[in-house]
Amino acid sequence: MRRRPGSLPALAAACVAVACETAAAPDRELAYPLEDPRSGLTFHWTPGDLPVRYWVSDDAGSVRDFVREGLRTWAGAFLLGEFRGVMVADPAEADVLVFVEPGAPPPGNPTDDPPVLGACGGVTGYDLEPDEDRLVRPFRVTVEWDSRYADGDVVNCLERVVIHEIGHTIGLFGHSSNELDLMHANPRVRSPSPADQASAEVLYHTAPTITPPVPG
Amino acid sequence: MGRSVNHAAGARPAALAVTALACGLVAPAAQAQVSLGIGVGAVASSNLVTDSIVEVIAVRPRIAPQLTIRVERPLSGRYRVAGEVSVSHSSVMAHGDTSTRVTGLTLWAPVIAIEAAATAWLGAEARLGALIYQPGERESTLFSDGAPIAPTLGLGLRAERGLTSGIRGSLQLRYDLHRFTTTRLRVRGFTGETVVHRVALSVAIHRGFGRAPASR
Repeated sequence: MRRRPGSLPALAAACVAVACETAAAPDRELAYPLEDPRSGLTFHWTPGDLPVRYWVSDDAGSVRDFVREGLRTWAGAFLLGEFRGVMVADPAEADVLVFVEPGAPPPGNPTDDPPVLGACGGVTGYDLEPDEDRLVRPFRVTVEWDSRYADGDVVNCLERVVIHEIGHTIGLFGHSSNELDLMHANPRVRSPSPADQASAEVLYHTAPTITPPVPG
Repeated sequence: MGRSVNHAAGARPAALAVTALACGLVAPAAQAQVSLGIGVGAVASSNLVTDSIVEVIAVRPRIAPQLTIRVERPLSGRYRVAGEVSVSHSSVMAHGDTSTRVTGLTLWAPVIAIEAAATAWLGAEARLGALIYQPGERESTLFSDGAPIAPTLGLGLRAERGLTSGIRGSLQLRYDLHRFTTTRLRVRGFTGETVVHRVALSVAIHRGFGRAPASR
């Protein structure tokens, strides 16, 4: 049997092409600013800080479950182990403290219904060393709920807001203009969107301007 | 404390099995039909994933120590058939501007091989098997939705010589390839699979059991 000229190099080239085949990675585009809008600074935890330790106040009720859910869902935004968080019992050991005002919210499970604006709110704050862009432990997250709203509305709102605030504590300081992103200022969705996930990944592969706190 | 006790309990049957195997290997043996071997070595892998998040990131296991147990028997003429299981353990690393650990990874590799003797001391083999990925940590990694089991194809070379009656020592060089992806990578928008190449070098001793006509 005669082999056509050039068939052997073509076969070799095909083998090389197959042998070098690589899965194609998706584009990761930053969907919103990473910087803290007040200070212009950026932050993320480093591998030596992991797992980041979260303490939740004793009277938090179901907010504790929402924090746990938030840690799981934000860890799921990453592929290379960039962020992991755990719950701790001792506030002195924590990197992040979570408080609930005015105490345990009404019981109930969140649903897919859109949350009612005003039923709850949250704020995340941090301090820096004087004259130094080094974080002073811990982050402080305070979530508030309003007893004038129906129980279901409060629970739905708190779930979104807590997971949104966990997003701030991993370093996503900015807000999205897209209401389908969890990091929209008034979060409607229950978990990070693809844009949230991509922004978190970009953040963790960008040099921060805030240094993590000194261990201890 | 409880964790270390559990590890010890789990490790004991494996340690006993290896000890029994080693004792069996060094006991006197007659001319062999079936032989049993144990080998130690190291295995290196090409990239599992190449990602691009701000920087190009190559994800691959570190060179891993490997333990192999192999059973073989002669076929007609200069051929032998073998079944073996290898296990290796190392860390999966993400290499970009810096290198960070993603997770620990244990790899189990059951293989069926057909070996042909090229000379009295050198054999070549074709290998067909599977590679079972067993990551240490799943959360926040490419294995968070499960770890793959991939079919493998490979080739091997083995140089061996008799050490004492019934006991042979060998030096083995193996190559295999498989296609790699994970459910999590697909969910996050990766398309296609990566062809992963592995090379292993090991030394082994083999002891024969039972009588058979000399096959090599």
